[in-house]
Amino acid sequence: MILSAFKTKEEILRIPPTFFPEKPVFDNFFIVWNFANLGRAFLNSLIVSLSTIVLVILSSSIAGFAFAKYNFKGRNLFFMMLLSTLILPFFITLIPNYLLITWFGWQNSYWALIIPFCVSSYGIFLMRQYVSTIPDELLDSARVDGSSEIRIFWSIVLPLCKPAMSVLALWTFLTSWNSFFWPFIVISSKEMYTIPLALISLQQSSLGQRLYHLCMAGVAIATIPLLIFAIILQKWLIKGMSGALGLKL
Amino acid sequence: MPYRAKYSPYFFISPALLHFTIFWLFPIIFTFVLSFMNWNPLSPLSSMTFAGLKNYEAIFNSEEFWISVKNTFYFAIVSQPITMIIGLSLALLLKDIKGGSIFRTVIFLPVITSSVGISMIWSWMYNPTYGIINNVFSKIGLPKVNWLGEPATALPSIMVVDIWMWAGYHMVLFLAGLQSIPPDLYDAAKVDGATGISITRHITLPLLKPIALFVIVMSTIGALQIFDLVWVLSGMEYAGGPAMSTLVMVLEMYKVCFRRLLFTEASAMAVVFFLIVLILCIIEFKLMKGGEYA
Repeated sequence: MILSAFKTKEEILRIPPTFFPEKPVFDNFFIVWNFANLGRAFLNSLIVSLSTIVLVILSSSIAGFAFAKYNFKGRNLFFMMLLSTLILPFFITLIPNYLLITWFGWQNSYWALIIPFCVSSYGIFLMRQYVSTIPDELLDSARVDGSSEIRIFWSIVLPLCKPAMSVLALWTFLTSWNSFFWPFIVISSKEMYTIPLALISLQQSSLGQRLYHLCMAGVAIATIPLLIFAIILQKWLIKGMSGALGLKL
Repeated sequence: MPYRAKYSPYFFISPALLHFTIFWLFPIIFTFVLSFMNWNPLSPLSSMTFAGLKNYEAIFNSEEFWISVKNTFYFAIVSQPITMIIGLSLALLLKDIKGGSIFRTVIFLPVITSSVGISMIWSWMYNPTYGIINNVFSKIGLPKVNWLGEPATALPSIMVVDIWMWAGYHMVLFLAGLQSIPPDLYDAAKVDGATGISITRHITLPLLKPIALFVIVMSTIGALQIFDLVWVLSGMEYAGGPAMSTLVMVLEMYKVCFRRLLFTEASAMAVVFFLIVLILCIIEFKLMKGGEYA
């Protein structure tokens, strides 16, 4: 795939196909950047993903904290309901969620891409798991000293959760960056395309004109940063996945 | 517990609770409600009227609906066990090998890459004229195949991509499970004279059962919701594949809802699909649990 991105249009259509490009061409990357407006798509994806991450981390930590360190009425019930959201297929909520978006007037906006995902049950489980390892004595001694609960959370619990928050941030970033179906439904204008949508429109327009070289270049641009990012941090990602299962790796 | 602490938890879970209610609880209930209603989405909500089972009737009479159910079933039931077996085998093979972590990374990469990017690459590879697969085939004397264009091969081709994508995920989960098996068990078995294969069969596999159960149920639920791969690999706007061979449940729901604007019918579909997922999972759960002899 990567190699194909460097071939010229003529070469990529040649039969039988060659493996290495004969005369590597860098133009493809620039062409596809403009053609598919990847710059704008990158910006959109970045805005959405980063916002989602911040909100998810915040909401997951406070909820995880509550589940881990307090005993309150309805705790188990709510926990079970959150668990169910991980098992239930998404399409059961699809249509009304779409309707909600239109009722709020959020269609084709960043809000539609961020808000429905700013709370994550997975995130809550992860943070709950992690917070439960914090000794109660730490919190109690803070209470004895007269600290408010919010302060306890902000100054004691949160700084201790940095590893879990990093894992959550990475995982949320990936799922947000790669998400296709929901943006596909709520976004309708090219300026608001996220990376997956931009790639799809590229693929679409190339069907008739056989612009495979551009497609490959586009995918390469979109994917390679992510791959490098992921390879470096893969250890954290795997920790995050098994973390939610309660397994320690 | 101090006064403050009594009410703090409610404060802390309020965002989650609010979000859950708006984006999960309400939608699930509303989907059920919509499925029994008559409503044109282009007109105001107040024009909704009760329709009884009309929507369900409509979808059960629709040929596309049944085809989509069949295709989705076929897809999930065939591809997930294969993915799991491959993932398990990879985990068993790679757990102790030096340099295994490199392999693990490589195999895990597809899981992290966007499904859109992956399906675009594969659609290129599957191209009958210019794609690498047919090129290799013709070099070794096998006939060229129109992978995505023939009804018989279209869905299996997509299955291959899905398996390729998720094997790494399964592998990672099984690796985690393998690491949780106490080494003493292996030592005890070796003392008793057990060999490699026997150890795997009688110690490793049974102890992995809980994880395998979790994996197969979760991945089946995921597979039944497949859309991204099918959308790209079946020609996008014309998706549904040759002779509707790749029409899957979510795709059909998308078409009915957003192309034909039949929101209420699509809601009925969502309910039926949901029940299908539920039943399939219960069956799988019972099947897997049944083999336990603990």
